[in-house]
Amino acid sequence: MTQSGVKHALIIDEKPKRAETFMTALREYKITCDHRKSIVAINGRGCKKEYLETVSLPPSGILFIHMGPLSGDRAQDPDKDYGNQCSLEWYVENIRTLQSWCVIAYTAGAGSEPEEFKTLKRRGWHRYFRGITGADAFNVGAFVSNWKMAPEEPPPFDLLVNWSDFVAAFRVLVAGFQVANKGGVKSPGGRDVGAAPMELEGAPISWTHQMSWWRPILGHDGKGTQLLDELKSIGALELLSVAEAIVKWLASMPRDESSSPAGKSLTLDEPLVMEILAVKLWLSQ
Amino acid sequence: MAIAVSNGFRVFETRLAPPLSRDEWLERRARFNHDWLQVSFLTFLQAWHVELDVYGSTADLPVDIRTVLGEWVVRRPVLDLLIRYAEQLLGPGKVLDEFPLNELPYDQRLWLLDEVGKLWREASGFRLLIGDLEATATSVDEVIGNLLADHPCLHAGTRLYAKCQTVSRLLTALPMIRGA
Repeated sequence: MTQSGVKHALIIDEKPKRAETFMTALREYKITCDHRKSIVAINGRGCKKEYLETVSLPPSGILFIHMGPLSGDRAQDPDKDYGNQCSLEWYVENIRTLQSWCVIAYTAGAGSEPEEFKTLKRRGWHRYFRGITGADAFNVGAFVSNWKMAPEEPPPFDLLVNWSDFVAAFRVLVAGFQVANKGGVKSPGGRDVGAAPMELEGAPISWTHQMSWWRPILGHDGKGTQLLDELKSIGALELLSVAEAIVKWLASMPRDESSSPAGKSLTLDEPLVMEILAVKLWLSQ
Repeated sequence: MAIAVSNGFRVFETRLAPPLSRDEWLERRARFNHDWLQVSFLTFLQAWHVELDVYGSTADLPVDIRTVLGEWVVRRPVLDLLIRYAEQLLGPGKVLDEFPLNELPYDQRLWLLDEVGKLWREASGFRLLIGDLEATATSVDEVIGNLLADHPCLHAGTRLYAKCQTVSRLLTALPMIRGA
């Protein structure tokens, strides 16, 4: 696929919410999207003609297609068309054009890929995913931003479903920092809140305490490379800015308590504290 | 997060490890919710809920219907498992258990587990969703229990269909903490 090929996407999915989430993520990367439902409703009839026959395929693009195996009670009635059936038939009919497309086929279930897909798919360019219950199962941002860097290469499918432990860890630390600094946090279960990253009343903080809080994000190389790279790859610019500042601050600190210079501030400066407090976490997801 | 509680002290070292990984939890949810509940059981209820209303009021359930409804009872332990370990495998505790946060000092992890866990449960909607899921699953138990015991049960089919739809929706909606 050429650079221009990462400009179009087609989403075939009967669930508008899931399709809309994919489209929102894709549009952030200036990808135009066309959404078609595969069925009218569960057990609906005539869906294929209504929704899929007018699809016009550019020479290349990204296809998200809800396509489960034809199994279960819903597939037992030969007089009815089902979403899976419509999607699969459409895929087979358009396979020639789709050879130059990236195809992301998915099911919410745990079943294997349909035989037709297994036979016709272009290896490395068409992939089938199971257990995709909601749009949040795909990390569309990481996938697209990485693939756009090398669109002639096969799509980085692994980025679609592999989420960063470092980014999740960083979010937890930021959330903890926010809780500890919003005030009103009482000692839970009688324990000392000294475990929090910053004392609530401005009490002295130990070097060990302050350093240990953020240090895990530095990772194995001690430079925070993995976290920063992953934040860049998913385009989480707000978190990236905060992470870079904290990594820089950690680098300026002595490596152990005994070498800590007298009078050196062990706390983050106020603008950075404010920046961390402003990060939106799970409430915005 | 399952933590052993003793004299007010909660410790990671003695907590009960979940019997399945997050990936296994997700696969079991896919098999239960999508492959069985949505594809099979809800399809049956959609087609038969009017008849079930009648059977419920007459307390006279045919054998073949009884067999299909009995599938809920057979599969209920899977739903129990999903509910029991949802927070431990989907929430912040999962992240605190793994690199790099498993390198945090013990007291900081405990503090994070409490405070961030509380924040996540509220902000993500997990607390409400899991509460609704448990309550709805229990109400499905009651309706099916009444039908199978030939106890009169008004609007059994309509209620069952609606409640099973809710179970499916809530299972799908459970949030999961992830890196992006």
